[in-house]
Amino acid sequence: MASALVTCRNGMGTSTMMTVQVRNVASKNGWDLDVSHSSLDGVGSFNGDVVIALNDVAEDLKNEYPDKKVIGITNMMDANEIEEKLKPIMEG
Amino acid sequence: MSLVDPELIQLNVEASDWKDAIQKAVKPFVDHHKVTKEYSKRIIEIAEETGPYIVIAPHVALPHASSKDGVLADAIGLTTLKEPVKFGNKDNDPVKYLFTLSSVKPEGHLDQMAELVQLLQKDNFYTQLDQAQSVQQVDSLVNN
Repeated sequence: MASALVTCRNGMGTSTMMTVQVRNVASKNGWDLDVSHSSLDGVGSFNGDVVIALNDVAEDLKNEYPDKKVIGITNMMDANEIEEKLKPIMEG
Repeated sequence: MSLVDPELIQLNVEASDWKDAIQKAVKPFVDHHKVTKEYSKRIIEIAEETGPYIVIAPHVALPHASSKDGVLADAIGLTTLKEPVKFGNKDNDPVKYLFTLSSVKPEGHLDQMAELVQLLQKDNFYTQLDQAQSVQQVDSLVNN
């Protein structure tokens, strides 16, 4: 099973909502993906496949954790965007 | 129970900038004892430090801070702006719809967020929201 960590600045509203979206996209595509969420503090200790955040946060994370795979999302309500960006990781 | 608290719905609010928009979006939460006055201050402070983290989709912001920042009760509110304002999020500006959140649980409420996601993805949701003329109409749009 692949694993994803959805993260945002404080780990409350934004990442919780994006977790819902990522799970929806995963189940629609039949991907076996474990999705958890946390504040930025949780990123360092995450050893799964992909970290997902809104674009601005993702840019910071890419700089801070160059060895991790980070995906930035522009529009959280756009399931197609999430699907397109996750596909290479899930099916690649 | 309603997803969006009708007491926390306000339409066509005039805001001079993003800070004003946040303060006005949080005000009913203070009036109805969902958060303390600290809450909007913290949202603005966090945004100033870290950027417009609350803008999640085109024209949509989710003003919220941590449960430690003066949250008294769980709630979701909705404020629509008369004139959209820029939040400094180049992808999704300007913001017209503010879904304010307060959560006593530090990690938020997954089931509530799932409902909100579903609502925000409904066909024609924003068109219908723009056409609604009263809190009552919005209440039946968002809570049915």
